[in-house]
Amino acid sequence: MDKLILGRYYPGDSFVHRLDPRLKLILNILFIILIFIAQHWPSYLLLGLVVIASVWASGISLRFFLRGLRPMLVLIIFTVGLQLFFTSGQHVYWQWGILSISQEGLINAAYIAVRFLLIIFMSTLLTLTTQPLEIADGLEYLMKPLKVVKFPVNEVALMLSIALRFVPKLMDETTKIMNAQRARGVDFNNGGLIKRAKALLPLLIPLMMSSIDIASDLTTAMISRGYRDGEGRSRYRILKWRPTDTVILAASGVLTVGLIVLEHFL
Amino acid sequence: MEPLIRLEHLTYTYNNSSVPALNDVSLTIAAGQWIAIVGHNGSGKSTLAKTLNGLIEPQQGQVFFNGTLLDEDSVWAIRRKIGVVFQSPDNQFVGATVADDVAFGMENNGVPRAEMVPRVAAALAQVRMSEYAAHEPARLSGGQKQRVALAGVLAQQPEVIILDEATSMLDPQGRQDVVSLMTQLQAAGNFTIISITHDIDEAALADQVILMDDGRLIQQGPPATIFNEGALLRRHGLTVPLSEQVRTGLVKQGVPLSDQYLSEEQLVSELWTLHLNK
Repeated sequence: MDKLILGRYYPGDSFVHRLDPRLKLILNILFIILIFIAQHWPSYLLLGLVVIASVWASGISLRFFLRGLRPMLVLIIFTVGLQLFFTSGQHVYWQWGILSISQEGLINAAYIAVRFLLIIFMSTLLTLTTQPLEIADGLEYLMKPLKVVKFPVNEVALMLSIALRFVPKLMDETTKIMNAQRARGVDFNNGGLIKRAKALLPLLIPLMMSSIDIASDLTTAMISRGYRDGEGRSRYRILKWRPTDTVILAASGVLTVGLIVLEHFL
Repeated sequence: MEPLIRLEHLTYTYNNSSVPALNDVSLTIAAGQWIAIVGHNGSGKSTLAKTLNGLIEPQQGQVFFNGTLLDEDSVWAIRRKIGVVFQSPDNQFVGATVADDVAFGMENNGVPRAEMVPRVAAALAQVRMSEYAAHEPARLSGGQKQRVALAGVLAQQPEVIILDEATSMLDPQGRQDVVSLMTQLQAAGNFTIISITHDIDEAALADQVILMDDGRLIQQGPPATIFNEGALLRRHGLTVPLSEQVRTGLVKQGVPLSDQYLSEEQLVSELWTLHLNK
């Protein structure tokens, strides 16, 4: 279960760790946009260097990034394969029915692979260097403008942070129920797909019930402690935007302009 | 003088039940006292506690806090003055870290951050959890979580602290920690403590004991009066405190002890001074 995104925070105190979560969120979005602006190899080289520099600055071993790649591998292979076999072009190297490998297909597939790789590395960097709670705080801040359209930003943020807080608790609960059901003879690990799915039922129903119990207890506790709604609340945890954050943001602005200029001349 | 809490003829029946959980309960609680509400499971003691801060609205009867009638307008102001520590250490932990959880109640009341920071620190120091401020709840023991819950209550500077079976899910060490904290707080004299419990030894620490059964108030009085009547306690599904069991046992054996209820401390001092009376 530790492989879930939530458990991926890598404690540390590097330059990247200390950046404001809001900045890291913005830069991740910006980076995805840049990836799609880039259409030529020199641009990818530039972005690749940025990723390498960021990974280096985080002081986290490459191993952890490769691990972040693993769950996405199927998706990458599928998409790359699609590009490779279904792009029609003039220089065809190999053909079988509707499947063909052409020069254009090869190039497209390579582009897609690089795009995926760079985006995954950057987002893995975000989750590795930022605590889930900080990400929730950052999201709340960035979603603030949505209040204009009556989107319950504070409530959603509280929901998110409570959800994060109860992940370990519910995992404990799951283990407990699984053990209890195993003791009663339920076999979670053997049998075909249907048999295994059926074995999950005696796990899911008690888990659901206990979640509802927890939620009801939590509601009582929250009301007792004066929770009404997101309005009129003050905040204990605050995010601090430091001069370094501004510098990095400015640098990213320069990079964006640079990339656009580069693309223009290529 | 107006008592801090006055309940008048409370009656409450849960939706899915035909038997009232509270049946015409009236009582008063004076400020600064430690009250223990005892009774077996389903005696209505937790329901009673829930009416005090408006979590449950009784079908009949009224709750007065400091002379103010608890109703829709006053309920939020009254909740601010009543802190509750619930039974389950996990299910009342709202914040993602210890400090966040302690701050939760103050956040709800819009306390400015500059004021919150020292209050969180002070409350954590009071429950001796300062070094855990940045910890996540998953890494705390049950007793530690209950102490954090207590810190969250203290940070709100309430007048009344309700412990709704707060120690019943703890190991002996955790229970001892929480109970000794309560004793210290009570000694500091700033709080009225209402402890709902079926641990009779915990109830023995109180100034007043309220015995409940079948939603009715059976008896209210100092521990000495209530615990003197072992038969009464047993009839209502409770045990007799350890010191009382020892005293009656010894008296039966012919040891010349007082024929009144003795607290643990009193019993010990009578025992070791026994030979002086010969």
